[in-house]
Amino acid sequence: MPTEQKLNHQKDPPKISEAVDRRKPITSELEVALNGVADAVMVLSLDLKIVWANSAALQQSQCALNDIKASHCYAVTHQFSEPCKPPDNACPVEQSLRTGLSATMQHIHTGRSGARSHVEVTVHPIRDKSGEIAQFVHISRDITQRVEAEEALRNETSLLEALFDAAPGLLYLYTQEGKLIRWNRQHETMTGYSSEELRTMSVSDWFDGEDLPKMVVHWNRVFDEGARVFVELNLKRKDGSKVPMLFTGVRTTLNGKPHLVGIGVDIAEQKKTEHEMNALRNELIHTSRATLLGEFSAALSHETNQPLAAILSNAQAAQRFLAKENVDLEEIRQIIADIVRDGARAGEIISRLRAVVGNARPKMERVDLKDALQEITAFAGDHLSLNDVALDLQCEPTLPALTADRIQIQQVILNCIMNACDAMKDSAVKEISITAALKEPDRVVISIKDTGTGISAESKETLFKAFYSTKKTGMGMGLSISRRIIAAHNGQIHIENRSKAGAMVVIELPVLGREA
Amino acid sequence: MKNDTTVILVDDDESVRRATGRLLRSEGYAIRAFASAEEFLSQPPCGEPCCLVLDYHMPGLSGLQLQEMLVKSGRHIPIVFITGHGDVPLSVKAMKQGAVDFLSKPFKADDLQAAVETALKKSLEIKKGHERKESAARIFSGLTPAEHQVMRWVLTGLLNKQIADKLGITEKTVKVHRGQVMHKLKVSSVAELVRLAQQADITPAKA
Repeated sequence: MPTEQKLNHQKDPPKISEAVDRRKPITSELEVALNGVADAVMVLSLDLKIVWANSAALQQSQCALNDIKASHCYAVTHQFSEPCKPPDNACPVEQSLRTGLSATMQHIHTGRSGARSHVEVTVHPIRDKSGEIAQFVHISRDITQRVEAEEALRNETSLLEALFDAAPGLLYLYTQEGKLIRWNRQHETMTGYSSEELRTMSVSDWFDGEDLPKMVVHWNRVFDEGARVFVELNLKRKDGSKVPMLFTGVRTTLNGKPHLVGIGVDIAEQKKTEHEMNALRNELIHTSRATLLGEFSAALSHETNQPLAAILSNAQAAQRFLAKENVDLEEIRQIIADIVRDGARAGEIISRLRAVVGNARPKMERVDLKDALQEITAFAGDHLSLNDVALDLQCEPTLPALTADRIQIQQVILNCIMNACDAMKDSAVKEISITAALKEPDRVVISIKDTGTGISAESKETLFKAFYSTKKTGMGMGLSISRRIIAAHNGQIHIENRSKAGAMVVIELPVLGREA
Repeated sequence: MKNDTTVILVDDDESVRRATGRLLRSEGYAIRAFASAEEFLSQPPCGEPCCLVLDYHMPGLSGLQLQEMLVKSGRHIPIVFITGHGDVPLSVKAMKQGAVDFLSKPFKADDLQAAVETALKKSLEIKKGHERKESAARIFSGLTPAEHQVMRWVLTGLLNKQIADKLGITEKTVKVHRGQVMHKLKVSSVAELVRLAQQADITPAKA
């Protein structure tokens, strides 16, 4: 066991003669070997004087061996006038002497020119035959590069952390199995889950309803195809509330395993604005329709008043003539002829106006019914979500293409959807189900079912007439025009009540349609 | 009132013109019909009591413009407007300009008849007023200038002596002229004279 020795370099320095006596000679083979080492190696005496130094040490201190021999190590490596002291620079020699063991610590060495370098200093005690510590081997390894790299990494990491937490949206990193492994602070505040809770959560915990399969589809695209995905989903928070968000996902490799990294942005405000814009647009459409109706009725009343006035006057004149004693039959004959002529004139005016309002001839083209239905239901999407209505569209895969006026058919479907939404205003369940199927080889049937109020027996008779409406603000043109459109396609439309609740509009169309 | 009266119908729509004319004839009115305001104006005015049944919307002169022209030229013909669509501001203006009624097409026969009857009554009154004025004016035309002058002072209620002072003639001369006036006009009191003068639009002399 090494004896505890006391290092007392200034007040009570060990005798040099003793130190010299205990010095072990460095053999030439050893010298050659040590000079070939990249680390700076020095042999120190008990009083911290340099006994020997290898080439690397001489190079570091920019001195010749004779210049530094017998100099204090601290003077050469630190440019200090006294030994290293804690807390900044504890002396490894002191530690080694105290413990009798090797000691390692990091120091910042300063060369003669003032150049600083980070070093890892290891001091090994050298014992004499009696087991007493006689000298020390002082090895300093330059670790400046490593320290600087570590510091740069630390800076980079803390910058990333700061950015991570400063980001306004959610940042996340998931394993392929869906386990959440990294997230930012916003992820906690936004979802309401603590860091501990998030640690146990998986990607499927955030979604339900139709959002869940939608997420899975995009998730698989990221891992299977390496796709960069953007998807709008409703995120479920801890309190159960949902927030519409836009999520992104990118595949990245960590520790040789695929991961998904991405961000989530709250788009509730954006959605709200969109809804408001849509409501505004709908109002505008309604207003222009109402204006059109106003103009229509003004034109109608102006044009038809003249023949009506003539008919009424003629009829009343006839009544008076007939009440007289001597009836002039020729007069009566003329009156009736005039009445017939004016009646025909009024009818002509009305059919002319009707032609202007909604009797345009269909423009026949090849129509992919499934595609047309998908397009129009997507178009109605905002109206549906505004009214909390769920819509299900089922198309038979074998549907043939139709010869029809795509826009007119879409108008009819849209009109049915709007009517269904209106009929379900007060319904607990608001569902529209649209199916399209082949009935006969050359006839398709589209049915639009709702869960609304259904139709009363009396309105069933008049439902398809122009200007008939069960709605306060309706103009009563929708079904009337719809029927005309379907008839122009050689098709049929009728409406019936469903067995439980709601109504069903059934539209039958020939595959070929009518020649344009 | 149907005797010696005429209803003048102006409407550009032939059907309406024929039917309305026929309706009025069935009620016993004499009818003259025109297809435009211009055509009506090109004819000599009717002498008997008459009224206009006038379409508001016509190409060329509108009903309202014709009404304005008649009012300005002093031809007081009562007007019943008929219009394709009721227009409140228009009807207000027409009524302010003295229209008897404003009917929307199609109108009831009874409404038209009532309006025409009112208009003809008004026309008759206007005509009677004219006649009274004319005959009264004829009576006054038999007076000499001196008698006319004295008569206008008598209307002021002054005594003979006061009138003599005003005119610088003798009281006796005034008395003679006054006697002639009462004799020629066949009146026996100043009150009767005043009434007759009013009918002829003759005003009292000014002091």
